[in-house]
Amino acid sequence: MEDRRPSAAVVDPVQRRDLILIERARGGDLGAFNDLVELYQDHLFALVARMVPDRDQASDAVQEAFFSAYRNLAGFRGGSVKSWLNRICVNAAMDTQRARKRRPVQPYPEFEDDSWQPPTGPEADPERLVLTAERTHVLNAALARITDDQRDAIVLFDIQGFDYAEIAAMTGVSLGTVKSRIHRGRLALRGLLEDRMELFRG
Amino acid sequence: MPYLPHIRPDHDETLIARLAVDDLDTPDAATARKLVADCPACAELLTDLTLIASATADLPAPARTHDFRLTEADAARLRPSSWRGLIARFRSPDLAFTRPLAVGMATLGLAGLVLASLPAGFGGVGGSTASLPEAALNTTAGPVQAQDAAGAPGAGALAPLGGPEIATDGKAASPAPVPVDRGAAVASQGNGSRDASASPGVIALPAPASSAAAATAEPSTAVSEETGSAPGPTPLVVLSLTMLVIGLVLGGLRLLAGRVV
Repeated sequence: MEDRRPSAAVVDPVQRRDLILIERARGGDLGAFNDLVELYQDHLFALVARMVPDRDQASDAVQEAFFSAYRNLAGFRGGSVKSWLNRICVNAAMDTQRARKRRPVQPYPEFEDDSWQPPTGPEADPERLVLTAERTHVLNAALARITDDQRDAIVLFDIQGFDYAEIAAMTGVSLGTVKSRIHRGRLALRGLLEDRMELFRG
Repeated sequence: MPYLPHIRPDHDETLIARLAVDDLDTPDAATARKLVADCPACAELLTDLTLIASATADLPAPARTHDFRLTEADAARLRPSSWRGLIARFRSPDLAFTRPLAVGMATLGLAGLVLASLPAGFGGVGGSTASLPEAALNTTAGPVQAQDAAGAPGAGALAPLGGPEIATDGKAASPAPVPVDRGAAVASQGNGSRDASASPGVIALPAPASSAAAATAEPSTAVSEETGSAPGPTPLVVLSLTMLVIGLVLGGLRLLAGRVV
């Protein structure tokens, strides 16, 4: 008897594993869904936290995204589960950004999080570590100050590694708009970091 | 936009930014490379943009502060209820065909309605439309008073009208069809005994007082004439409306399903 489940035709072991978990979750297995959450929550939180630089709002957005994914299990149309979850999280992050715009303007707090420090090893150069920490701090602060659209494009392109077409599909804008946001966002960052560029050149 | 005091205003910084991501076609890339080669500020901008992009890519991932796994209570709350589940099914891949079906049915329904409303001369079905003016004239006019219509100009364009004929002298005549110029049917006030030659092609439509007795003299004839030509919806109209409604309902259910999930 031929196995007609979607997971049966997938060769990539990661995708195959994800599809099996999705199928089980669709069948009512909450544990299978939570396995997916465990697999991707770090990645998705990192994605959303960069788009929404307020930790509490980012957490809420990720939680809402997982709720939405669970509600929408029946709507999963196959393909990459990771991409599907990415899309849901990007939508949740953009919803949060829109909700912020409707409220009185309140700048994002700058990241002051020890967990953002680079990993230390016995061979690490203390001076270099301090320099990297400072660079991370000023860059995060600058990212929090550019527009939401520009930050989303830069996070998805530079950090997450999506290509223009994927970003256009996720954010619902044209390819040209995506490119423009990336270029303008980088120029805006450069303008904000102009006095601190020695941290990057060092 | 950032202010770059040391870059010349005629040097396009966006071009440099596009060069930094290798997003230029050949002529623009050549221009940008020339700028970078000739202008130290442009070269610095390119270096800075590349450094920023590299540092952004290397940013350490923010640490998660919350476990996002769902509890049984979450799952129970989120599990679609019966009606929500039913509606949510319209978004499932199994029912993906409902989208083109909804669009197709709504489009065909609209097209059918448009076709049915076109006059016959414009390629419409015309069956219902051709009878509409006559029916309208019949129902509004009631008994029609013939006024020496044969002598009126435009008699060649006359069409039979089904109302009972009333003679100009006010006596009831036979209920034979009366020729009426439909394009120039204007209601006339008064007793309706004016000569038609005074206003060519015009026929007094309302029943004059003098003809009231005649109208009542053969009421059964008048009623049967009116009901006989009353317009009803054609099969095309009924079919088109049905398809339109089904298409709209299907589309609405899909939209609702999107919101539910």
